[in-house]
Amino acid sequence: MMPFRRTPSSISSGGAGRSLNSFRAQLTILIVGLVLAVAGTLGWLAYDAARDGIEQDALHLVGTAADAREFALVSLLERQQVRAQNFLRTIQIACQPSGAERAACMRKLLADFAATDRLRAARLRVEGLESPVAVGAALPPAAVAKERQLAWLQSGQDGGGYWMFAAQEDLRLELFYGLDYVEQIFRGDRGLGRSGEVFLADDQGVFVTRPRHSVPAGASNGIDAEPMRLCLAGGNGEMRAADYRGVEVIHGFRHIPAFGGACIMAHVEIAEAFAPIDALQRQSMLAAVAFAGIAALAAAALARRFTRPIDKLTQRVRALQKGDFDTPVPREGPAELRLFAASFEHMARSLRESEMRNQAVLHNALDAVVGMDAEGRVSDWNAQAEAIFGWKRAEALGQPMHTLIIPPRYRERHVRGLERFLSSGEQTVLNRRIEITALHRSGEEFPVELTVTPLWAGDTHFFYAFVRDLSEVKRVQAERSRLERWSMTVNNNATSALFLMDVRQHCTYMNPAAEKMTGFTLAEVQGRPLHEFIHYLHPDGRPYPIQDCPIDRALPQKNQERGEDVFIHKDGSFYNVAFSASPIVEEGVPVGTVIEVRDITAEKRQQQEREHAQEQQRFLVEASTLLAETLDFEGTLNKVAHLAVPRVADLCSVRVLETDGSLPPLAVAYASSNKEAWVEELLRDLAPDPKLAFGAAETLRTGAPQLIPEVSEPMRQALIRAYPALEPAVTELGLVSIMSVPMKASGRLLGVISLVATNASKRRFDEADLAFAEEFARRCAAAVENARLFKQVQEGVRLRDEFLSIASHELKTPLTPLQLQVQTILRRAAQLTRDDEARQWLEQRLATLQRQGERLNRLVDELLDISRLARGHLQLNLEAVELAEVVDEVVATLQSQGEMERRGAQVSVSIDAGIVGRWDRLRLEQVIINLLTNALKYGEGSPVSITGRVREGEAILTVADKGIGISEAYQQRIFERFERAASATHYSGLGLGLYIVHQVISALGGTIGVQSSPGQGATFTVTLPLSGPAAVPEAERGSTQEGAERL
Amino acid sequence: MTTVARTLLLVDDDPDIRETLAEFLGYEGYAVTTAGNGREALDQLREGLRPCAVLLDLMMPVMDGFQFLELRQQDAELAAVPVIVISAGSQALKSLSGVELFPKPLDVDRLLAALARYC
Repeated sequence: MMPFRRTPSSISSGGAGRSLNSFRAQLTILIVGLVLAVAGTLGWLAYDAARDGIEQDALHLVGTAADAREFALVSLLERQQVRAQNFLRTIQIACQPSGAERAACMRKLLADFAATDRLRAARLRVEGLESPVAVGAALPPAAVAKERQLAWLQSGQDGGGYWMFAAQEDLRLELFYGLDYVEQIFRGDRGLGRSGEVFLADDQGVFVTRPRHSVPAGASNGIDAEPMRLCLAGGNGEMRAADYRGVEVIHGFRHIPAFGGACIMAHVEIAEAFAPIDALQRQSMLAAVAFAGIAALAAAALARRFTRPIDKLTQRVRALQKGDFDTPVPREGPAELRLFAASFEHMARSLRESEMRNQAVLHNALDAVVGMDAEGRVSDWNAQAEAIFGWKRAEALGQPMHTLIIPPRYRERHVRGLERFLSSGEQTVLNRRIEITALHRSGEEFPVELTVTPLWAGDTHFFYAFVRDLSEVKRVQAERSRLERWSMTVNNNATSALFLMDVRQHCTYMNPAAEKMTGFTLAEVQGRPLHEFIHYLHPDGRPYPIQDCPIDRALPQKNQERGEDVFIHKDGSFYNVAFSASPIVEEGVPVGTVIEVRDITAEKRQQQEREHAQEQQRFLVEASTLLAETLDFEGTLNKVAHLAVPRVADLCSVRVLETDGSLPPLAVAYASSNKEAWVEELLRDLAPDPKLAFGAAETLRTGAPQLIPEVSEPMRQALIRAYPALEPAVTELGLVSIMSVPMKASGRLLGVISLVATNASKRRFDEADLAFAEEFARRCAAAVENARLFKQVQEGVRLRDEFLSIASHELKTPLTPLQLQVQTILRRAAQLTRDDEARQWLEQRLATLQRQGERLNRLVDELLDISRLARGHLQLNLEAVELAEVVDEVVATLQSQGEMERRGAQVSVSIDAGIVGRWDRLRLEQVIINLLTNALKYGEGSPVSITGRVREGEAILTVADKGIGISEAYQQRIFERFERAASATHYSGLGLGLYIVHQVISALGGTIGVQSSPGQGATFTVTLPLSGPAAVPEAERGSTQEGAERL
Repeated sequence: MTTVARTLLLVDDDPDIRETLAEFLGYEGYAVTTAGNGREALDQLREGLRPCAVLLDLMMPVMDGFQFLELRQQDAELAAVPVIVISAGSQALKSLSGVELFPKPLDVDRLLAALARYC
């Protein structure tokens, strides 16, 4: 297969236009460059040769110039030497005489010589003569002759000169020339052109002849130049160098040993020397530029002709690279290119199809596709590869593949395997499906399935690996096998029975719990209709057709069926179950049913027991409520007995023990109401037969509860024998089970309750039922006992009230004549005696007698009131009463009885006139008498004040004293019966006064309160609505009426 | 009907009360006839006794005060004779209407004041 996308390599990935220009420019530059290179090389070679020639010429020129000066200079010096020798010879000849003549001769000749030879100075020494003959103005110091030197230079103030020495026989001649001759040689035409120059320098490099150009101050002199240095060192030659001015020149230099080591320097400026060649060079450059321009234009034209079609092809290639297959390939340019374009287009089309296929295959491949070249580097990496290995395509490309996806321990093997394949073609893994471990970017290893395909691209191998991540597959496999194990475990250990049925309702599977529940083994029922084994009968024996079975209906109806039913065990017993049958539907087709079944027999039983217990509990609560409702226990027991039937028994009888020891049924209830009267009739006159050792008789005898879970036939016979009248009832009702429980209170047997189950319910009582029955009896007994006790109490109260009523009547009856007698005597006292003293004495005694009689009367009244108040029988006789009137009357009465006087107390009364309310006059009197006597009694002689006001429809009466007061703790209690704040030993009385006051005021719709603190006295405040008490309910009025009539 | 001024009929089963009260009222200027029970009182009235008021006890043997009042109420002539009830059971008196009530022991001043209005 074709690699679908190559890594971009030599072709820039930039825009097509830029590449196009680049190509054209490159071609143009290439052509122009080639032309220029050839032309330039040729030109350069010619130029270089010309330049070398010119330089050689220049060197030769300066060398010649220097040689010419050297020749001239040496010739001059040799000529002057010759002339000096000739002069000495002349002296020898001409000046023979000795002595003075000779000296004069010498001097004359020397002077002539000096003049003709234009010597600056001359000196002639004669050996043996002390003073030399000399001419010339100033002779420089004698120079030292040097070997083989014709002359030597001496610089001086006057511009310097040179010495020359000659000797013959005894004559020694020293000559000193100026530089005129020398300078003549160096002056004039130099043959070195316009810039050329020749000069002489001494052995120190100092100019001897004047240079053409002045030396700038501070600049180096000639000795600094390289040629000068070489020359002073004794060299001769020509070379390029800078002159003393620093200008580039071509030098020629000659060392002249014969002239004291002086140097001749000749040079010509390079600029001048090379001027012709430079002109040539400029012209050549111009020509080259023109040529290059022409070449470039030609090249561009040429490039255009060839590059445009190539560019377009290139664009097409780029487009292809980008996956654009729609750009047409232009057919233009030379015929070869057109042919090429046609072929290319064909190729592109094929490539396009192939590319599309590949793209589709690769990008949609479920497998990761990894391409690898022969060097082991990643060349392809699809999206799935990114997904399973974690490396992005851009990151992966070009990386050694084994470092990316092969776990380290396998890498070496991979590399060796690849090498072996490449070298020998041996392989073990190619073109096969293998499972190996791969490496994720995260370092995690995971199983993969892999196929590696090698491809031969003509010159190199590359490989494609198709990789599938097996993690999920492995996980799913593991999960599936785990689930299978689990489901086996669950099936085998489930407490629920599980069945599987096929479409024909035949059993295909039962789990162990199902085998245990049904009694059948899987082998017995497998492949056979399940219904016929475990569900073919109703509990009542009717056949259970499979059509009616909800379990077998689940599949055809494709519904889950849930419910409860009764199954048959292998042993034939029935048991209650809860089932859930679910159809198994595979791709819309029902293939079977799975049934989960739970044996709920025990649950059912427990539930029934629970409901039964709850029912009994509810019954007890209802019975207790009924029993507590009234004290009429006879009626209540009857209701309770009916409540028990048929909820807890079919027959219930409650017998209460009478004082005579008989046990008549107080209440009888039977489940069938039309037979209840008959049953009650039968039971009414039955005295418990002591011979009967069970039932009510036994309970009466022993006081213990009796449980007969099942009445046996002998028992039934015994019962009939004991009570022949019961025979029809026993026969007809069919006694099944009996409980009889004692009603006991305070250890005393009050009666017996019998609960009987008959054929109506066929109930069998058990111990739990008996416990319930005992509880029931306990509650009934408590009710009976309570009613009895209450009756007793009521009776006691009635007797007491009756007694009190009679007693007070009887007590008051003798008071009446007693008092009448006292009154009579009092009124007659004046008539009886004329003795004032005796009369007073008598009156005092009689007053005491009367007061004590009044007091006795009030005490009796209080006792009576208490009795009435206790029964709520306080009767009010309401009429219009004026408060001030009553108070005045009371005060007057007490006054007349000497109460205030006796107590030594002042009573001040301040009652507003016209306070009239709807009250009971006598009761109001009683209230005021009580409050006033109380104030007098506990006031201990302090003044007592009574006030009366009206505020918001209420009369407000206060009675205040300044006596011992009442502590806060007692302030509420003083209004209770038999309570008083003061100690009984100091203050007499029954302690009923304030209680009666409180009750009377309450009955009148008012309130009473007290404000007091110990030692500060007490103020009693009574409020009474002027409108009297609110309407008294009818019932209450009836009872007060009744109370009144009893008196 | 005309009554005789300052004559009273006192009905009480207790002889002590009868005698004491009769004596006391005698001192006060009343002529007092007595009866031991309702029956005797009724008989005396039917025989023509016309006191200006009857002082009546309630609790008596033979015929009690309540019965006496009932029978008196049936006879228009007798009904015109004012009755003052004297009783030790003061509460019971309140159920009676049309008669004045005095509890025993008697407040003689008030009793005398009441009698003064009738006689």
